[in-house]
Amino acid sequence: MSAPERVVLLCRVLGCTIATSVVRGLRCLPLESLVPSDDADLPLRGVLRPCLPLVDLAYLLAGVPGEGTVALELPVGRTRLAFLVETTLDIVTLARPPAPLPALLRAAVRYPDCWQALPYEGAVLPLLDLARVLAPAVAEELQRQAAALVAARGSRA
Amino acid sequence: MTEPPVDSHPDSTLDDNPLPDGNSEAGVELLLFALGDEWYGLPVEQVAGVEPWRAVARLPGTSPSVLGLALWHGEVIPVLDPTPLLTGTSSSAEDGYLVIGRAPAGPVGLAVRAVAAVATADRRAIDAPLSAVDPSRARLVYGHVQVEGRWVALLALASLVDAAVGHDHERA
Repeated sequence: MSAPERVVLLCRVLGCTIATSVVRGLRCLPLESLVPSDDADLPLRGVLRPCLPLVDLAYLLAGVPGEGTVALELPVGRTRLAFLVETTLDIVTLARPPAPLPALLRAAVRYPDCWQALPYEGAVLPLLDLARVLAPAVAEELQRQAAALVAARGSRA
Repeated sequence: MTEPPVDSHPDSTLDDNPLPDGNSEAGVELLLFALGDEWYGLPVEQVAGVEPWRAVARLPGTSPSVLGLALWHGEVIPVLDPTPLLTGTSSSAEDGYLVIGRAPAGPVGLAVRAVAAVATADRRAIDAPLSAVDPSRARLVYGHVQVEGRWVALLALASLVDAAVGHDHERA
């Protein structure tokens, strides 16, 4: 019996091409409706209307604010988050299953349990499980921060 | 001169000892390779192969010494760039080769500028690292030896791997 195919979305973060699984409910959003937050709120970069927290993925992965033009929205626990990425590239279907990240590299990345390696066209794609990067409790806290930001900006308007 | 890629079986791992047990009178066979303008040697027992440069998938948020992931004989291996750690300079790894080392944790690709040859060095001629060398770099080599007219630093593979990924341990 052949292994099930895996559909992944390729995107760029910090100049690197990574893959993330296409899960039910995943959406790519533009940033036109962004209400930006302050640097002190990082990793929150702002809120996409009506009240979707935008999380800076580069900041999570490297501790530095990233640039981006696209948000990847997906369910995290009981809420939804959007992750800022530089750009999206392609959707590809892979026949081979992912391999674990080499043990040596687990110490070199943040969120080592969320990374795998996907053999693809003679090379490898790093596969990030976006839905597991942040714990559900953290996602809910970000949702509260986003709601507070929207309320604060609304009261100033 | 750069020799054609060589290959061997990728199964075993060795510790960081560049001078394996045996007759101390015997020479030690070293794979010689260049990082920047400097020459380094790795005992052939710690070399699983040499490959032309290939696509390496970079991982966001890693140190400059961690280049990323590559596929080698169907296996996903980490690829490191030793040049910044050993020479203090940046490298243009994409022009060179991958030396596949047998690190204790498994095979690891090392980006090198050039590969010269396998040469035999006289064990008795191996000197300790120079005291003038920066201690953070000195721990990455076991010593120096002259081979075929070149001064070659003996690479401490396990220490190099630890240094390349180690500084990120705390945040993982």
